[in-house]
Amino acid sequence: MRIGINLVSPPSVPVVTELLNKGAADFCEIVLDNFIHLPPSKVKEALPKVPISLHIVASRFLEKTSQELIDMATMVRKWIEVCEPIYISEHLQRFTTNEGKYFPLTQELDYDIHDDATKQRIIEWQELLTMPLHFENNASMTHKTHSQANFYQHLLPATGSKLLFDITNAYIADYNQVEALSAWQPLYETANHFHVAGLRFDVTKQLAFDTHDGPLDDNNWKLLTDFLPLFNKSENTLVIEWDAYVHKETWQQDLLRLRKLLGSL
Amino acid sequence: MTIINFSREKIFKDVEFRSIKQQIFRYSPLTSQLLGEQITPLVKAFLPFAHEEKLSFNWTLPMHFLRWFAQHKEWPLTQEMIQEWMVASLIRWSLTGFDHVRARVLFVATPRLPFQAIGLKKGQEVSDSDKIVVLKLANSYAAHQDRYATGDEVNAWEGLIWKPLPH
Repeated sequence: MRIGINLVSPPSVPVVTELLNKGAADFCEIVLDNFIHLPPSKVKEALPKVPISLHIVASRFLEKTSQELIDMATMVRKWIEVCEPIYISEHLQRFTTNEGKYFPLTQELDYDIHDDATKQRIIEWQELLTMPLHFENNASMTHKTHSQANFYQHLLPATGSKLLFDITNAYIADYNQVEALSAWQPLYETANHFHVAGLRFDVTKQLAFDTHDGPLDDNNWKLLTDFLPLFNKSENTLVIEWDAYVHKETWQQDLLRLRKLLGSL
Repeated sequence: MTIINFSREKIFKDVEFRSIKQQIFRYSPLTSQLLGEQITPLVKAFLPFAHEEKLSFNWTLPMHFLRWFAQHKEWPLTQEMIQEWMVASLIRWSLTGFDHVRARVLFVATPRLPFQAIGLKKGQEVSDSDKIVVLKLANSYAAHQDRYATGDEVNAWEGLIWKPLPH
């Protein structure tokens, strides 16, 4: 299994480069939103010989016009051609109302509605990109989103897309009593790409939040100990995500601990 | 799995309000310090205006908050506050790269500071951070309404096509 780190924005470049050069991580997952305006050759210059995957956070591909989709795809395809990514991942979320007003917080889809429009749009976006997409499961917080795993189970084969299984997000949905982690079993057994990240708890409100702003906690390590025997295959990948308040030494310790854990299996 | 006996809806309303507050004030530290505990009542007072104006709550939100704030002459409005809200809008724009995949520069201008446009230039290298730049506007280009201009080239100072700030 290859271990990855994510590159969120330019200020993280020195830390990410150093960790990759030291061999602490095997590949880099680039958050494309913050680099899409650049020629992809710039990344190859900054990270020579480093395998790359591409992660899209807020393309809003479900909400854009076909022409906007074509414009975005033209840019992303350049990155695909130059970087030859291990995978390209996306999010299934809504950012605006039907009237175009932004939600204060991004919304999950209504998982009880299995509509053809969503499927067709995913197929259209993938065809334009010329690659299947790996959709990341969301860290659900409301009971309205209790059937995410079932939704994905129908959607992925119908669209030819794949799951990027975020172990922490599934744990958060379970902790928040939205959906049991076990609901994902049929999907994570066949997944190839995984995420894990720091999280926070509000004990008073009995809620967990996906924050990506710290090291992996004991809950994460318990999950990894439980799941890695199943996920540890040579073709698979696992990214330890860290977006904000990045601390190089602590990130390195987590990467080292993960590699030891994988070595012990 | 057990059922939780409290209202998550109420929690999320609170989280959503804090998110709106953050969108306006997160990148304006001096203004936040100056307004202190007035921020929450101010944002609450702003929301009916925002709904009436059908604001989209996109990157332009801090600029619209500035327009609303400036209508209230009883509150102090300094040049630093104006600049900070302009920059806050620019930063929010920079976080939505897929909404403008080719744009490398965004400028905003306001009648509250008619002879200055403030811009954000995206980096040209992977490790380059975005830069905030100030453009002096000649009399003939003075801003009579809130407006913006984008450019595909980092040094496209000339030939910017100004448009009214969208809602």
